[in-house]
Amino acid sequence: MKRREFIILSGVGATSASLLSACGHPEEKLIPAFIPDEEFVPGIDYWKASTCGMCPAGCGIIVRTREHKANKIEGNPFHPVNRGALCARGQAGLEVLYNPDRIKGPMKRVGERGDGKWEEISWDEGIKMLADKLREVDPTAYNDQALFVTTDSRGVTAHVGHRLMEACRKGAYVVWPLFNEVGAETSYSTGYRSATVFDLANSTYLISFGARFLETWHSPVMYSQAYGEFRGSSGKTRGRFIHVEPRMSMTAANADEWLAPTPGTEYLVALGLAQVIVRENLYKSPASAAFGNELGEYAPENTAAITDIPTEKFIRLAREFAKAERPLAIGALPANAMPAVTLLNTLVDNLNKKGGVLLPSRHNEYYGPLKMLAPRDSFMELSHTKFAEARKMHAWRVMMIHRFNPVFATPAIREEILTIPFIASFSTFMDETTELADLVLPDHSDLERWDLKSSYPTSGGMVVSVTQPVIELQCNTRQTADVLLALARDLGGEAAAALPYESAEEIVKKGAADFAAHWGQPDAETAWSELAERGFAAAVEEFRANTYATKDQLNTTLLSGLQLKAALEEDPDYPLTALIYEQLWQGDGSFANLPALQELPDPMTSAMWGAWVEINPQTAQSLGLKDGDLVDVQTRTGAVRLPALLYPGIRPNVVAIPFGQGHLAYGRYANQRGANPASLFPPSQSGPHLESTSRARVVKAAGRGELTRFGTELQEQMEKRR
Amino acid sequence: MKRLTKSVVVVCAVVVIIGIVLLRASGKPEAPRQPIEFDHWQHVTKEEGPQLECTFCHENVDKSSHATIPNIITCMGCHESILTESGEVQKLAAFAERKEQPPWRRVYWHEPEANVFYTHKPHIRAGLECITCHGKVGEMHRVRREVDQTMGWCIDCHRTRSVSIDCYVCHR
Amino acid sequence: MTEERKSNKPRWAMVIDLDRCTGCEACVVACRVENNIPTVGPEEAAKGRSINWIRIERYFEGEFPDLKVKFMPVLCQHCEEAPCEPVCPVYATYHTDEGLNAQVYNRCVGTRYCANNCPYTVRFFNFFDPKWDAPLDKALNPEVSVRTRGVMEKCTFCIQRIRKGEEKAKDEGREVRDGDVVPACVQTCTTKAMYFGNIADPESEVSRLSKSNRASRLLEDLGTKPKVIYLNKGD
Repeated sequence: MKRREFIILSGVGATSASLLSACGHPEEKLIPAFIPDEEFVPGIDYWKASTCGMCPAGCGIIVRTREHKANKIEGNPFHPVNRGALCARGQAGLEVLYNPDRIKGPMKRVGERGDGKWEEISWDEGIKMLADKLREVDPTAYNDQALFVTTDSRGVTAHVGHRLMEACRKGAYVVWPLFNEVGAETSYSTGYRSATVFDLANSTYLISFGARFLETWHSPVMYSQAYGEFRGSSGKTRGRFIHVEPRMSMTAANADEWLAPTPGTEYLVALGLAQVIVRENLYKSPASAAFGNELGEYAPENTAAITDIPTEKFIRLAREFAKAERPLAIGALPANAMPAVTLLNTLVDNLNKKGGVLLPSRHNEYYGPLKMLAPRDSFMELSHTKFAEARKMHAWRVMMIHRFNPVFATPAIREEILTIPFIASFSTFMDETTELADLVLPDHSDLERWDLKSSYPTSGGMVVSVTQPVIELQCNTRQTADVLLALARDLGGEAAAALPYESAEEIVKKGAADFAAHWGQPDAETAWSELAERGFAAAVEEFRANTYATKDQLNTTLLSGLQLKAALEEDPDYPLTALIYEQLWQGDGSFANLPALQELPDPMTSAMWGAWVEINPQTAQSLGLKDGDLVDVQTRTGAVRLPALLYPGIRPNVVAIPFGQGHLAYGRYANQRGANPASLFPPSQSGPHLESTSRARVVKAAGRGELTRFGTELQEQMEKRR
Repeated sequence: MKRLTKSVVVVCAVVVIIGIVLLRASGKPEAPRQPIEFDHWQHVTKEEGPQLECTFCHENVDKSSHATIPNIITCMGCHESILTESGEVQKLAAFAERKEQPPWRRVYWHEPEANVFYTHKPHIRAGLECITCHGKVGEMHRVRREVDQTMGWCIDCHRTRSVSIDCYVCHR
Repeated sequence: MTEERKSNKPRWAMVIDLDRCTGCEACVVACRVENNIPTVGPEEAAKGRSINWIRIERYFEGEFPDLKVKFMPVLCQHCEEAPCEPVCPVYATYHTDEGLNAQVYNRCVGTRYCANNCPYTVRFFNFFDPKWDAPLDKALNPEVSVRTRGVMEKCTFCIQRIRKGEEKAKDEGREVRDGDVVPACVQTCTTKAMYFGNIADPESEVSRLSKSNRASRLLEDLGTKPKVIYLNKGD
């Protein structure tokens, strides 16, 4: 008997459970794990390379497995995007693979929609059911459509889905990620759609307009690494960093100087800086003088009142920026305001220069079968908002939905979706939208599937990373691309002809071989084994300057449409401004089912397992609110009830709510936790995305809010000693 | 008074019985019956036998933390053709047919609560013989636990050989 | 409880550059996954029973709009003069010959004196047996104990990785050097703000950085002699 057990047994708290645990020999169950097989020797770590699927950045990962179980994910030290590092989300990836709330296999609905009554079916039955529904759709009728929709825009799923729907003349859509910061790239310069990268590491003076590059923007790990170098490495002076955002995000907290303008006026700050640079002749590209006239009205003297940033600060920062050795501006503003940021970079002439804006020359991102399957015009890209609008325009008879949860992001769309006669969901988890489905054909987790992803590291060129299974299947799931290929075979005719592939694995391997051949490795087998082992292949090429917008284009397209006004109209009944933000780990809400992240203290507030509303202490005082009070945040559209969190890092009269909690489904860790702020914003005007702001008021509700914050007494100890 | 003495005796007896039951329950069988009566002596010591080295079957002892139990594929490598008429080998073949591993029972192990992380590799590389810790398994028909692997026994050996006896070497 | 022996053993130490730390908490999750740290759930977390071997402390200075923030990762400082060690009645916490502050779980009887005496509040008590909803338990690290109810736990500097690194050096017939041992937090650090190595080796990166004029130790005046060295913010 073990000593502690004896203590427990002899104490008052002896229970039958501890008695039972003293019997039997659980160790013997371990025997099968100690028998080696062809692949594994017990007691030895096996590392397998793949690509992180927790966000679109495409970081390389290596997964440690032992005795047929994956027990750790680390960054791939050789991968040029993340060079060994991995963020909090990526580290929690195993909780997706081994999540207890995964859908175990294909199911069809047996009760009413939303009742949660399901019957397990076979994959053959599920695929046949969906194929039959697709056959019922009349391809000639405008108002009779089938739809495939995914947020996984660059993966094999989207390509296969698109080609399948095209072949049977049905609609296919990619919906931007909820916090669509990848979409913002489109507007970087006129019509140029590519992965613009920013050479943060070598910049000496950085201004960020709301781009939370250390948390959620573009490629957070890649830019965090660059930030580390920016702050100082051997032989380099420490870079200076200014961040412009009404709420102090974690990224803002790291800035040397934080500017908190009125929400929605960030672009006016950028234009004000530009105006000072032009009028003081501090610009580096001679053509910039031409902007003088257009910029006149944005002089800081005119905008200081709207932005609430003093004129002197504008002038000082403009001079610092323009005189810096290698200045750089980045931004995550709404698409129509981004030209203001581009203008700053134009003035200091940093395009394709060290420490500046880097435009990789355009490659075809797709190879092999992926090139054949690459999206064409019929493949529409939509924002969440536009998805709701598109729904109004088309009568969809069948909706196939993949990695997309519109009922959570835009709760008002629920009724619309219920009118669609047949819904098939490919979700790995029972989310709010899948609850309404008629058929569930669950996809693999990212650690079980095949895919190919391209990304642009700051070191230049392009990287193709492979997603491959690192462990045996955990559930009776099937990769959605494979289901779609099976569907094509069942449908026959044009669909089968358009998709002559056996599996996603075949597509990925052929695509990888084609990529390798293009970049000098003609032997497909060697190319594949190298790629599978390393997890990625790189095409290195210098950045080229020839694709940048000319100054004429800047003149006409960039500045038109920008208006000198605050983003929101005054509303006497709603004196405050409410905004939502993408929190460090919560993303679009799809990580709320991971306990390691739920219990991760928020970096700015230490809050865990819930949602909250951040209020400046000064505002709270005027409203008679204390930390932890339960409040109703009301807008003209809706209301949410949340605990108030007094937060010094937010403008007075602005309240901020993290997005991602408030699920009404999605498993034991996510369900009924906090509240979903999406209802504060009208779905027709703007679904929740990064620029969502609304006039609001805050009313104290009865009772105390439940909000847990992680804390220790270290701070007191330190202050005592000061 | 007599009744009190009697109840004290009863309580003591109950405590002793519970104690014995618990101790027995947590005791390990010394020579557990195996799903197949595998005979180490026949494989290792018997003169007209194959006289295998330990590492022939426990092939990972110098590579891994575990010596590992051979996969049934290893067994069948020989027994596909050798002694196929033996009852025990037929049992083995039946497992192989079903693509199952025989549910071997362990003879030596540490409880997970011991938080001890023994690894074979460094011990083998330091030149330790298998019999030092496992007894003369090669001479046994059914394996029986001969060495009482207590912590004191580990530490004695570490002391003799001037190996660290820091707790953190094994417990973590 | 170690015997004195002549030692050319490494002395493990960590350096954290606060100018690079962004507070992103990748280290916090990496540590949880690597070291089988259970999540306790919302109810227990509300009672202050959440366990984080490494955490990010955050300090606000000033008021809106002139607000400054400092982030500081705090983990067991592996003090040379550790206040937790002398108060343990059962020698469950002690100093190893590699300078680590060790916690031996099967000795611990849960008096919690050590936690009480730790000025850095980095020691955590298991109020319950940990629980992982199946199949989350499949992701447990087989190289690390699962602690039971009634024991104290805290950062070990990833002792399992130290052992692996030392074994690798031994296999290659050499002394340990930089890069052999990388704890999970250091491995994943997104800005490369953390360094780990043998401070007894004057050539190691941690030795070099510990002599920086930005170097300081936490609550130095207590005389605990921590082996985590912080490099203060620049500027």
